Amino acid sequence: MLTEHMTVSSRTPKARSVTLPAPGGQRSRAVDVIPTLDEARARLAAAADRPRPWLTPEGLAVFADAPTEDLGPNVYKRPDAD
Amino acid sequence: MPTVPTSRPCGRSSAEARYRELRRAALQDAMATLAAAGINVELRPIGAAALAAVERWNDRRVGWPWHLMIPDWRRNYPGRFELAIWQGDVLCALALGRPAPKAPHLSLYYIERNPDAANPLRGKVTGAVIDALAAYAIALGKTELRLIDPLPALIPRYCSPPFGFRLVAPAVGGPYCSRSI
Repeated sequence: MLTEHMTVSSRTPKARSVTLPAPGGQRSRAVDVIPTLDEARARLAAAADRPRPWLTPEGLAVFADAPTEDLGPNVYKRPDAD
Repeated sequence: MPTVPTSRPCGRSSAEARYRELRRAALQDAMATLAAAGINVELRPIGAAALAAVERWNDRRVGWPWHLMIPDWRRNYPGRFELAIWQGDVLCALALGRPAPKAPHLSLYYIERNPDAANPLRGKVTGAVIDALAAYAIALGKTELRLIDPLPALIPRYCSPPFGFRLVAPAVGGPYCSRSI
């Protein structure tokens, strides 16, 4: 005979099935809500005429003489070290 | 009446596949934009060819271990922004970032430019990466770009009028550059 505890336990896996598993045993994260491809394409189409000042001649001149364009720390920080 | 797919919660393997589609759409959008600006490059995910090519670069400023970073980030961040910029068979740059899960920003954590003086994209890497990053942010519905851990010498360039970032120095954590899109 099922007890109330057993009944509740049997529901738990279903409740977890929509949650993105926590990576590498880290603490659980929020459910990841992802746009559909159609939504993304619609957003990109709606923003097609957005300004892109970094691609103008003035923008492209900004890094023209830069000795490096690197971005980031001096050592690799693993994600679980965040 | 057919149902229309909408944003929804999703399991991990499905999340990886769906983000892959979104990255592809964003990179295609950015490639077209860059071509219109006279920058003819291919924007791809960071694959085996890129990981092999970066190992052949000389005089790297840091020499980040991309062969470790990519598996780490793939395991931890299905929504990551990953980018290899190619012109022909020359790998011009690599970049890696990720969206904030609950906030409206997309952060870029790494850019490494091929240090070879003959790199055909020398001086244009940042603009190309920012354009691809902005496209992915739009695809995800994000409204802010962040550049994490910028080199101090490059901050004035990020904050120049064409790039339009501002420097943020939070009480906790390192500085970053931010701009709205």
